[in-house]
Amino acid sequence: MLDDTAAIPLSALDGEATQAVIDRPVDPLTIRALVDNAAQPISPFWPLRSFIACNPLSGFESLSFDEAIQHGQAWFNAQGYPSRAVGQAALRENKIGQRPLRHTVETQVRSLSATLTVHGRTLKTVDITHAFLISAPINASTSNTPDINSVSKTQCLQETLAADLERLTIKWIAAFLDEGQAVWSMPNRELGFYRAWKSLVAFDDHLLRLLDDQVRQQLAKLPDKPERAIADNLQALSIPADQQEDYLARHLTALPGWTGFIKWRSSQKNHIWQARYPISLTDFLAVRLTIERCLVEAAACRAQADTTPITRLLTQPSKAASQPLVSADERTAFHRVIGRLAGLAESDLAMLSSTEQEQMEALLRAILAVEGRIWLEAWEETFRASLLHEIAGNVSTLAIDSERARPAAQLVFCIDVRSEPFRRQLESLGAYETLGFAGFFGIPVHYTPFGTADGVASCPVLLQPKHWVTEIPKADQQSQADRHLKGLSLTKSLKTLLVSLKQNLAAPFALVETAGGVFGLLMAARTLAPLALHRFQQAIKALIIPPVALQTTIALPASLNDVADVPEHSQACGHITGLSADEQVFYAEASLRMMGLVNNFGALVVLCGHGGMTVNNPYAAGLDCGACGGNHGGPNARIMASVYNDRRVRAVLRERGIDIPDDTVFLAAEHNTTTDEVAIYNSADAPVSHAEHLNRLKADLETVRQKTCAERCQKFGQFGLSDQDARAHAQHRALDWAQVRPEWGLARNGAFIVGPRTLTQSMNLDSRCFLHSYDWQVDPQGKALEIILTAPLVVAEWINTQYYFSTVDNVHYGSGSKITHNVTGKIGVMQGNASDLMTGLPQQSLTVREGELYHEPLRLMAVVYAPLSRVAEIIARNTILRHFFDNGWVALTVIDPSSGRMLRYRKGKVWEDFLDDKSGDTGEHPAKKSSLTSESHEDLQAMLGVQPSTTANHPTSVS
Amino acid sequence: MTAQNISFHPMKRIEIIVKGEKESFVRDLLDQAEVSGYTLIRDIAGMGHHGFHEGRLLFNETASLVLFMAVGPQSIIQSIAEGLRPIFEKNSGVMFFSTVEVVRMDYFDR
Repeated sequence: MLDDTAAIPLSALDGEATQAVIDRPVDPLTIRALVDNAAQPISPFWPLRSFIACNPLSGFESLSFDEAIQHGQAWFNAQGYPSRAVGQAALRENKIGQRPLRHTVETQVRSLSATLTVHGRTLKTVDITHAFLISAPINASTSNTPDINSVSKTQCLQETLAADLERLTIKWIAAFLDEGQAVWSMPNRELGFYRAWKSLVAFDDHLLRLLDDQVRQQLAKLPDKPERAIADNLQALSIPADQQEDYLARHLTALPGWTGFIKWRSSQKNHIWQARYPISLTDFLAVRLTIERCLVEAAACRAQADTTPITRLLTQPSKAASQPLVSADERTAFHRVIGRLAGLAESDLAMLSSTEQEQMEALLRAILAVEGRIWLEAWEETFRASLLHEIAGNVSTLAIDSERARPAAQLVFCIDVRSEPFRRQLESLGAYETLGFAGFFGIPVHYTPFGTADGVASCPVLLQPKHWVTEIPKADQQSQADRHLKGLSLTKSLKTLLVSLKQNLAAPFALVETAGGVFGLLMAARTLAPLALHRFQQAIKALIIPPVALQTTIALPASLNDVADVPEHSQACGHITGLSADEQVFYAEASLRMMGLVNNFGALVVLCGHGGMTVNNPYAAGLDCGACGGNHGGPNARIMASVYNDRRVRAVLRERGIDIPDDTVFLAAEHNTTTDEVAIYNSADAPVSHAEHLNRLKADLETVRQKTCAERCQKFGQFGLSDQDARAHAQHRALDWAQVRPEWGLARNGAFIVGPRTLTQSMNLDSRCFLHSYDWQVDPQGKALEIILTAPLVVAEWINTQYYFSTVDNVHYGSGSKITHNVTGKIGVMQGNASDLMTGLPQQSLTVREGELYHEPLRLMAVVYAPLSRVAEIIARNTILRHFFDNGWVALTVIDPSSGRMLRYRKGKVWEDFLDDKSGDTGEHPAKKSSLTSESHEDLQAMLGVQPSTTANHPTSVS
Repeated sequence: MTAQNISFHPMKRIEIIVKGEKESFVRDLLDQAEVSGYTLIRDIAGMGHHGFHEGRLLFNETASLVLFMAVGPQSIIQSIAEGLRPIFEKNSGVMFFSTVEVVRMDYFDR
């Protein structure tokens, strides 16, 4: 129990509500649980160096998508659906089809009255809604910001207090969370955030100036424990027990970026900064509530008022939570639509009865309430139906050809949407097979590059690293390695010296005098000739830090009976490095089965990790591999290639039915997603007999690079470039220090396809689909599919929702324009010098220009080529999938291999048959519903009332 | 209570089953409660009010369930339960209590 004798201002202890608080004993564990509950709306935010995509409404995924949107509006004042301007623009560009729009309108207004009678004429609600949506004004303000003249003094006081509270909180939290950017760091951080703040608050002139003497004195008597401080403040501010959780949540959601980062950091026990300077949301609230209490009490003293009404104002629900207003322009447009449909003149409309006018107003409000949903679902339906129709054409060609020719090479890419154009171009050049698999290649490692002290967790954030792997020089490279390390040390010293000179009080003047010219030239070169400068820097770097041939430490030491048995590199990183023989076999088998690569291996199998290339870009990690925790995927490729090439591993795999031919060589490579260069790491591992294959592959990779660059240049509005020029343009973007958009990243993602490549090989998916290879025939238990749906699909959903929400409300869910970004603490960006930490994607990653979207904000659709019964079983036993599919976060279509049927999942285990009516417009999909609960496929067939079909090109109708 | 020169001492045991994403919170809470130790079993499966929960998800440790088991004096176990109660008001999960007997009382009673 906490010390209940701590001082509580008597002025605040009036009223029944306060008494209820006082009566309740304060337990630190209960306070912590209260804080944890209050933090539910907050999504964790990873620091910029990994920039992991996350659904900003992940705390509400157990609710329906629509309910979550409403919570987002209530907590963050954020919009959750595409705006009218965005919807109408998509309609004009045919991204939303007319028929899907009509169909969605019919669905959404079904709950409303079917007709509206005006002046004796009966109009269909569907017609009114449809006509209104396509003609409503896009600039109509629906903001319900109150008229300035109606703002009371109390509201002014509220806004002043809130502004002071935000600024003070941000100042302290930014100082504490700094991870090496600040020249003068905050003292006493080792005490934890609350205690460090408590020890320094007496020097906070900004706060002290706002307080009177009586309140100032309280700052010297603050309790030692943050839980106690929270309890005291809840009492002092008279927050009733049943409202405390909501009250704390209001404080946490006031700065969701900062609190999201604290939520992430406090869960990272091994994070070096957290271990050194601990912080929790309890600390944050203890500080924030104390500042708030001081401000409120000072304001109350000045106004000679009770604190309660001021506190109520500070924590009242946001204005946006109330019903939106209807603008005059919207009302006029709506009346015009009614007049046109009913054939009435404006004079007739002016004479409508009050009842008719009320009915019209009610209908307008009802339409506005579902408008965003209509735009979204019509847009999704247009995209999804088009994609499914195209896939349907390939379903019949999927009969497995057991006699298929041995490919020249197989290349395994990440499931990332950016792999698709490269794969498509490569496949068009010859007998290449490509596969998609999570870019960490199934091995959760902590990887330490040669010459660095700290490694990175190179695996999805859903996992903790299980193995430590370090990079060491090959046996014959010791002298080269020594030179390499010396070069690294020299470079580091020079950088440190330069930073010291820049930050020293007097040195900058001398620095500018002596080295200013050099820096000026470098800046000019960086601006005018970035490519030439890059080559020059690479040449200099090679001289100072000569390259060294490296290997990864994969095998565990033979014995660990003595400290002497532990290799030096293991001792250096503090962990036993490597994997046991059994572990290597486990990961090799699991990954091969998951991607369905169990036979017909080519002479070369290339594992392609990936990473982006950009300069002067705080969001650089956002272009790297999400499956590798926001790092480059090359190291994982190298580790797994070594495992696959191990003859002992192959021998065990052979016993388990995966026969990798002796002449098959696994190579590791990395795909640069900004320039489309593919660098192969271990070409030397290929025997002379494979030289011809390898040389041809390298030549083809260069050809593909140019073609893919030409394709990407068109997306940047660079038309008519030759392949060579396109290649140069892509490289220039990667090295341009003023470039806000080096590549489009994962923009426009919309589907996640699980199945053999032949399902989509003939299609141009335009970088819009995650592609995970899967062969249902080699996974009879469905375990591989379960892993795919519970891990890669989850990561894809995080990415998809981050793009979605950043697009529909860039201010609240995104991070605004890069132009005004201010990197803080090496952890994130603020807008200006004191804002919330901006968590989502910047505007430039989503839009071509102001008002013109590049990303299409659509929810993800998963398409799975596997037996329906198997998918249904997996959904039934995984809560996360039930949340995704039942709550509308992800749509699901299953293509049943035995029948060729395409079945779309609807909430409550209902499957709709997707049929192609060839009506000439996308999105028209007459469907019949069946409830499927049986576990066996035969039972499902029987329930559907159809016979299995083995050659169905298009699904047959359900009788 | 004695049996063949071994003394048994009554203690309370708490078993907590929560989602993997709450593992960090429960660990912190047990540390704060100053329990002398606990057992943690990850990746468990089972049936509950929210349907079946699958375990052994190879590449996702946050979606499956975890089981904590701690033994200590009644006061500590009770404070843990008090601290957890608000969590179960908003999240799925269960906790069980039972009386157990231990031999080395000092081992569990800090």
